[in-house]
Amino acid sequence: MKIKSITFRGGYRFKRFKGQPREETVTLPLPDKVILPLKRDGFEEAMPCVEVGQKVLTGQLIARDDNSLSSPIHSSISGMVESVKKITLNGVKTAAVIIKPGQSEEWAPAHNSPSAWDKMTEDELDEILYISGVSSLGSNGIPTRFNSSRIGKKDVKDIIVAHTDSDVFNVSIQALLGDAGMESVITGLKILGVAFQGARVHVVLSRNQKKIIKELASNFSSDQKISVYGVKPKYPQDNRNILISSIPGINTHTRNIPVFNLQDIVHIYEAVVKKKPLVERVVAFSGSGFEQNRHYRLRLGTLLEDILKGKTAVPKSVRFIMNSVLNGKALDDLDRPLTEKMHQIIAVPENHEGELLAFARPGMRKDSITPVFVASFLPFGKKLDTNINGEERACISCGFCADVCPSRLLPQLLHRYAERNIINEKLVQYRIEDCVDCNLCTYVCTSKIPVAALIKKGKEKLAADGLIQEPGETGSGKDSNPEKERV
Amino acid sequence: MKGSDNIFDKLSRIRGLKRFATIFSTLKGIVYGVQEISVGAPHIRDNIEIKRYMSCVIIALMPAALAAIYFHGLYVLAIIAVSYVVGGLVEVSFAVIRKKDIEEGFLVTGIIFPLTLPPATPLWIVAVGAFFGVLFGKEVFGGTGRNIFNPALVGRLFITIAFPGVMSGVYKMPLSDAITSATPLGLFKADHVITPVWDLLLGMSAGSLGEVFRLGIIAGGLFLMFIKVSNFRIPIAYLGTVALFAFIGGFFAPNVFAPPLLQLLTGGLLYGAFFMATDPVTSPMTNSGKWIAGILCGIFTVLIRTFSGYTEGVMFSIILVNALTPVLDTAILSIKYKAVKK
Repeated sequence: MKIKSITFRGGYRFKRFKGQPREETVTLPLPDKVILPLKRDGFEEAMPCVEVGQKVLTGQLIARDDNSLSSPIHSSISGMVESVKKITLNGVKTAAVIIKPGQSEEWAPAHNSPSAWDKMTEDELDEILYISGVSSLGSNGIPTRFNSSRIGKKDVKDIIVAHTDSDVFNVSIQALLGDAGMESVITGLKILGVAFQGARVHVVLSRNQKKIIKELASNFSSDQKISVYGVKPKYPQDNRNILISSIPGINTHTRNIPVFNLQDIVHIYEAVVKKKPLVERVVAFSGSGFEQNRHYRLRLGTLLEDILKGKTAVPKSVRFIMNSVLNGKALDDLDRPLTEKMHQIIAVPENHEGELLAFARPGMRKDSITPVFVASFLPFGKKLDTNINGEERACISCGFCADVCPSRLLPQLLHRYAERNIINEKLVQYRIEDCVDCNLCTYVCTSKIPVAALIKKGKEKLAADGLIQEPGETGSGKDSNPEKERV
Repeated sequence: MKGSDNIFDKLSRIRGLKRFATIFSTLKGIVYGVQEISVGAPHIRDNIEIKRYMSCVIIALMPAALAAIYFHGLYVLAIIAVSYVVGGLVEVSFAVIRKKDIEEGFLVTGIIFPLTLPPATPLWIVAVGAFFGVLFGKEVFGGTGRNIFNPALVGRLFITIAFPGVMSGVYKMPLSDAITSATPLGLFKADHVITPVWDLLLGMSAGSLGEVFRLGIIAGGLFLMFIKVSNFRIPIAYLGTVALFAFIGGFFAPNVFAPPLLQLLTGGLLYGAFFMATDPVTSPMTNSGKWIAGILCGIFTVLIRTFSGYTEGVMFSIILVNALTPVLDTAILSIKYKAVKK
C-alpha cells in the first residue's frame, strides 16, 4: 500500500523541548479510593445501578442509562461502594460513585461472547463497544445502535485515527501499547472496520514513525477501507478540523466524522478481544516540572492529587496542564478524578521572576518561530515556563500569526476588530468562524498580545448575535478548500 | 531578585518622579525582563519579543553604521546621538503623557534616520528631522503600530524639502573632506559616467551615510531576511522590479535609463529596500500585498530616477507606497474575502 503524504499550510513544529515522556509505562499501586463521575465529557449522566455498601469487581457495571445519550460506567477497582454523591467536574455538577478498594483484585469481563472477534457480527461488536464504555471515547463518541453518540451510525462515512506527535509534548505510541504490542492497534482498526461497514478509516501518523507506518501499511495493504497517511508533525495537525481538511476526499461539510487517537483504538481492542472495560488510561507525565518524565498506567477515578504527589521536581512551583500546553486547561484544582479524556498531564514551571537582560542573551535553550536565538542552531533541549517572555506592546503587523495560522486567517487583522469591540459582519466576512482555537497566534506574537483570546471573544459575541454557528458546533468551516483561499 | 524591590520600582515611588513612572517601568523591563505569566491557554509563549526583534534590526544595520563612522569620522556618531536624543525625547514625552510604556520602535528609527543623511548634514538639521519624523511620522497617528508612514522617511523627506540647498550640497567622498554633490546616480544623469561596481559595493562613492557600504547593507539585509525579522517578499520584489524595469527601459532608451546593475548599486535603493520598505507597520499585511508594494516601489523608483528632476527616487517611492498601503490592503481583503451574502 502506498502511504499518502498529507499536510496543511501554516502551523508550527515544536522541536526538542525538554521534558518529553520516555517510552516506559509504569503501573502505580491501586488508589485508596476512586471517584467515578457518572457523566462523561460530552454525555449525559448515566443512572447508577449499584447501592452504597455493595461489593463490586474491577470492570463491573455501576451505571447505565440506555435512554439518554450516555456511556455505561464501570468500577475501576474491586471493592465496596462507599457513597454516591454530587461532585462538580469542569464546572458541571454530576453524580459520582465513590469506591474503596477491598481485598480481591478480581475483574469482571466486559462481555461474555464466546466467539473470537473476527467471528462476531456487526451487532455484537456494537453492543460490546457500548457496554464496555469504550463508546465514550473520541471526539464524538463511537456511534452504535445504542444511544452512544450524537452522530447516527449510518451517517458515518469517514473515521479518522490520528497520532501525529505534533504537540510540544507527545504521548509515546510504544508506551500506549500493552503486552500485545502493535497487534492491539492493528486488530483495533480491523474491529472499527467491521463495526462500520460503510465507512473508510483514515489513520494519520507522524511521518517520523516510519516503523509503525510500515507495519500498518503492510497489514492493510489489501484493505481498501483503511488508508494510512504520513504527516509532518506540525501543530495543530491533531486538531479535528485540520485533520478533516487535510485528508483528501473527505466531505468537509459533514460533522459526522468521529476522530480517535491511538489509545482509543487500543481500548477498542482490549474491550473486544481482552474483554476489558474502560477502567484505565495511560497518561504521559511531561514537562520539566516533573522529576521523571514517563507514562503511567492509571485507573480512572484516581484523584489527581494522589497521582501527582511527590512527582514534581521540588521546590519549583509548577502549573499542571491537561493534554496540551497550547490549548489544554490548567488543572487548578487537583481534587478531581482522572477521566477518560486525559492522556497527558504537563507540569510547566511558573516563572514570575523574569530574566536579567533577557533580550540580549544568546538564548541557548529558547524556542522561537524565528531563528533569533542560537537555540535554533544548537542540538540542546529547549526549556519552557509560563512567563510570557516580553511586555505587551502595540501590534506591529510582523505577520507571524498569519504565517502560522492553520486556517489561513489574518489574526493580526481580526484581533484589531475584537480589541476595539467592533464585532460585526466584517469579522464574519474575514471568516473568523474558521478559527480552530489552536492558540498558535498568541504563542508566536512578538507583541505578546492575547490574539487568540480576542478572536475567541469575537466568535462568542458573533455566535450570541446569531451571525455564526456556536463555537464547537462548526464542521470545518464553509470554504476550507485551501486552493480557494490563496490570493 | 524580587520584582518588587528593584531600583526602578523604588525610583518610581519617589514623590517627584511619579509622573515618570512609565520611564522606570520601561527600564525595568529592559534590565530585569518581565514578571508576567500566561493566563490560561496557551500556557507558554515564544521567546521572541519586541526588544529582541528591534535589536536584530539594529545589529543588521551595524555594518552600514560602522562603515559610515570609518568613512566620515566621529562626526557620524554625533549625528546618530542627536537623532537618538531628539527622537527619544519626543517618544518619551508622548509615553509619559499617554502613561504607556515606551515603545521600542524608536530605537530603530533613531538609527535608520541618521544613516539616510548626507555626511556633512548640520546637527541642527538632524535634530529638526528626527523631531519632525517621530512627531509627525508616528506620534500624531497614535504611536507605534498605527503610523501610516515610515517615521524615518517622514523626517528625511521634511528636511529634504525644507532645506534643499543644505541637503544637496553636503555629500562627501569617503575618507575625504571635499564636499561634492556628484553621487554616482548624478554622475550618470549628467555625463553617463558609470561608477565601477567594486567602488559601489565597498562604499568608495559619494552618498548618504548608511547607503554607500553596500556589501554591508546586503549582508545586513540578508541576515534580517534569514532570521525572518524582515519579510523577504518586499526586497525581492522591489529590487527585481528595478532591475527588470531598468533592463527593459535600457533596451529601448539606453541613454535615458541607467543600466540595471548601476540602478541596484546606487543611491539608497539597497538601504531602502532592505531596511525601510520592509517596515512591517507601514507595509501591507497580506503576502500578496507585500509583493505588489515591492513592485510598485520598484516602478516608482526607476520612474523618478529617470524622468524627474531628482536624481534619487527611493525615499519618494517608499513614502508613496506607504500612502497606498491602506488602499492596497482594503482592495486585497475585498478580493480575498468576498462579502457574505445573506
